[in-house]
Amino acid sequence: MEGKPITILLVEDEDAHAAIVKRNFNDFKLANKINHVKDGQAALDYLYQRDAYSDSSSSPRPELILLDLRLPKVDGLEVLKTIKTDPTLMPIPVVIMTTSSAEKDITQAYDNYANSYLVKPLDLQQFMPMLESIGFYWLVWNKSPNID
Amino acid sequence: MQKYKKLYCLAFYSLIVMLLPPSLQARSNINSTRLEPISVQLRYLHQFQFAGFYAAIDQGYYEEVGLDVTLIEAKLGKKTVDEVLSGTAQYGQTQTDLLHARLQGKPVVALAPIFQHSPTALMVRADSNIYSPHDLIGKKVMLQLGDNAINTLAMLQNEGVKLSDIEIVKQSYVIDEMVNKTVDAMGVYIINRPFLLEQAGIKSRILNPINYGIDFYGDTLFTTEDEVKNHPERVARFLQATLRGWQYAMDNSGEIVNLIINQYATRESPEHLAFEAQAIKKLMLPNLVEIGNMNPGRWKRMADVFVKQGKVPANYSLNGFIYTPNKPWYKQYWVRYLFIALILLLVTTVCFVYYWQLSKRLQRVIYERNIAEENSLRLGHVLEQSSNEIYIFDVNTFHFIQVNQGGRQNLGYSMKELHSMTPVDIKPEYTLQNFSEFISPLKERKQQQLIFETTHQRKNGSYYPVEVLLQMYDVPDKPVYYAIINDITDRKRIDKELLEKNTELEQFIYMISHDLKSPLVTVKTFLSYLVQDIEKADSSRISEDIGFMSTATDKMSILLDDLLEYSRIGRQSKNIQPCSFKQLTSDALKLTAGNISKNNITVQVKDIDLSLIGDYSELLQIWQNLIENSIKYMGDQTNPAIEIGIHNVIANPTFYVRDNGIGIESQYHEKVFEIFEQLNPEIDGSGLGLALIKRIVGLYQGSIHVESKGYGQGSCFLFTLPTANNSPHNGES
Repeated sequence: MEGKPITILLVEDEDAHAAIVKRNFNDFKLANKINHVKDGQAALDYLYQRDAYSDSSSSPRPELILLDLRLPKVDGLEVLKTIKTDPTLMPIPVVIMTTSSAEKDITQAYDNYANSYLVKPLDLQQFMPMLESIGFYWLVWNKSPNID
Repeated sequence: MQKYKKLYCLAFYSLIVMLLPPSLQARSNINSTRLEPISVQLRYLHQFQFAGFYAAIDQGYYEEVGLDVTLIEAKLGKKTVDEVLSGTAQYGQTQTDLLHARLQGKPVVALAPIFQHSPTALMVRADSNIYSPHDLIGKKVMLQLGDNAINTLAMLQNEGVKLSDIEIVKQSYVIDEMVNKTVDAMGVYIINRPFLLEQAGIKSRILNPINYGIDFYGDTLFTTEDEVKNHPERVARFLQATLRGWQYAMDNSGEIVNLIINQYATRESPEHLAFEAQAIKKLMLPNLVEIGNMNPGRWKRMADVFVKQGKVPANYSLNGFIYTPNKPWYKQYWVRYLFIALILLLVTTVCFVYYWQLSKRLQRVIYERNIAEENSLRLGHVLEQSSNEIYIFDVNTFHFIQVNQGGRQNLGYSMKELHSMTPVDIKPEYTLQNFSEFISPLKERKQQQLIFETTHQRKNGSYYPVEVLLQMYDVPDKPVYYAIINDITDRKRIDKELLEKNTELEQFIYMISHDLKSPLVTVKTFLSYLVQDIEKADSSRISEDIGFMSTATDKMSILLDDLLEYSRIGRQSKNIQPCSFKQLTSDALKLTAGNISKNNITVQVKDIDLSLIGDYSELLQIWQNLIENSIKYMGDQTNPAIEIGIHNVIANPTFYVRDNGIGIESQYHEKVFEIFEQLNPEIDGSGLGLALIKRIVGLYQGSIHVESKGYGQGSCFLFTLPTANNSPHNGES
């Protein structure tokens, strides 16, 4: 893990929310790189290294995907399904991070093999420790199969 | 009704008793051990003229009534009436001389005329030219001018033939005088003389007084006043038995002829007696008149002839001459008739009352049945014409017996076609086997009714959902199933619409909760950051914080405005008015003029007009939102342009708003109209704009879709508003 750049793919249509995530991860000095895309189509393009994301040095395979559900063009759930039904993408942990606490959304997310489901808290005092925990848990403690 | 039956029985019994022959009623009273000897004086020698006596003796009728009868033949020079009056005999049979005797004051009593008509008449040769009494004038007539010729004399008198005009020759009874033509006519007893003439080979012709208005009784049974007075019982018995004898003799004349020849008058030939019998029958008319029937009026008319002939004075009296049996009152004829009349009246009355009551009861039954029939007929009509479908089908074969008008119309089959079909034929979800299993709880009386939903197929192949109420009309002789069918197409459609609305509402609430919460998260989080950043006096972070908060609150504001707008559509009271396409587009362009000029967009509106009718602000919003949409998604187009117009103005006006902006990839062509869908997060908007337009278009029964060749190729939104242009203003421009 040492010296190896860690990439997080952040799929978030809300610029402000993306900024919150970035700020926090920067503060913890956990990620070398957070790549932010604003809709589901862009997320898939990134993962399959299509179009604007064909350069693997600027758009490397992420170690973690933070995925919002309400997304323009392709819905977050569709993105999740695509990832979890593709054997090459399947091992990447997908943490759903959304404003919705609807039971339907939670169920559907886990039905499609989301690794975790988190509801964005209204309060920064809660948001910060949550993001810190995500970082440590998924990027430090969690072991994923080595694809490369 | 039982009591009436008893009355009928009584009445008919009485009637039968009344009509029984008197002999049967009386017979039981007679003591047959001791016979009373009596004698009857005949007027002549034994011959068929006295047949009744022989028959009565031979058949034992006299014996039955306790009499031992001796018949006495006439003796030359002795008159029958005198023999009886002198007591030689108690009874006698004689002719018209009986009446003469009475008119002369002799106490004789006529018991019964044996011959209804007199046998005395004039006989002429059939080959003579004598046809009527008139033809006798100047002729020789052999006639004894005694009592028994009185009807003959009366005939001559009535016909205006005087005795002085004809030559009366002394009666000799010798038939040869006719044969030899020594006389032209002869007074005869028609029961035997014509026979003698015919035996001589000469046909005869009879001038009969009956034909000239003189109708006398012939031989009459008689007795004396003393006999009637002293032996009334014997008189009655003798009379009854004699008349019975006559009846027998008339019915069996051949037998009596033989009896006479064998026992009484061996001198006569059977032919002669048979001729007599025939002649006597004509005089007695046993088939027409009751033997012995006696009419006082006729005796009086006969007496009047005697007066006319100058034989007796006019002041005669017939009192006591005509025998009236001294019957007890209840045996009198009038009592009998009265009784019969009463019985008949009673029977008639009873019948009348019975039938009257029966008819009243029948009328009531008919009235009630009519009411019931009318009711059931009316119910039948109502059911037949009901728009509910009603089927009646056989319990065993399931074949339709009856399907009402509503059913036939909806299914499209005629009754004739349905007769050979079963419910399974119109219920594609069932087979004969599973339908039969399904319906069995009704047949086994385990369930009163079955209510279920299924699909029916019409003759034309189309389907419709139905609710079925199935029951059995359980009558012992011929039970049937009947089904009341409810076409639930409308209910199903409403159910579906309701479900759609519910889903939409759920989606709506879900989206609102997310889209409102998202900016809230932003604002709260960056407020905290702002506090930290102010402490650190990190000016770049401060402006970034405020920028994020500002964007979030703007977003919230737009969302709330659009939400308000969206909820207002179709809810606020509408102001339906005529409005034109030109007016709407020009107003929409005015409202968006700022952004159009800012982005240097060329707008072209086709020079065409169409009258619409609808809520002006709703319709305006369509064009306004579409123009704003076009402006928003213009991208980095160097020559931005918007075109507004109408296709197919006459037949099916289709409005369009076209731009040369960023366009929409084909996979998003439907998604863009969904509520809260935004393709581009970079552009301000709630995601409600197109959903709102779609909703307005829907209110006017129209549809909207987008055409775009993909990213960077521009888009064209096309929509219709059928109910808005369905107005008389159409085509005015």
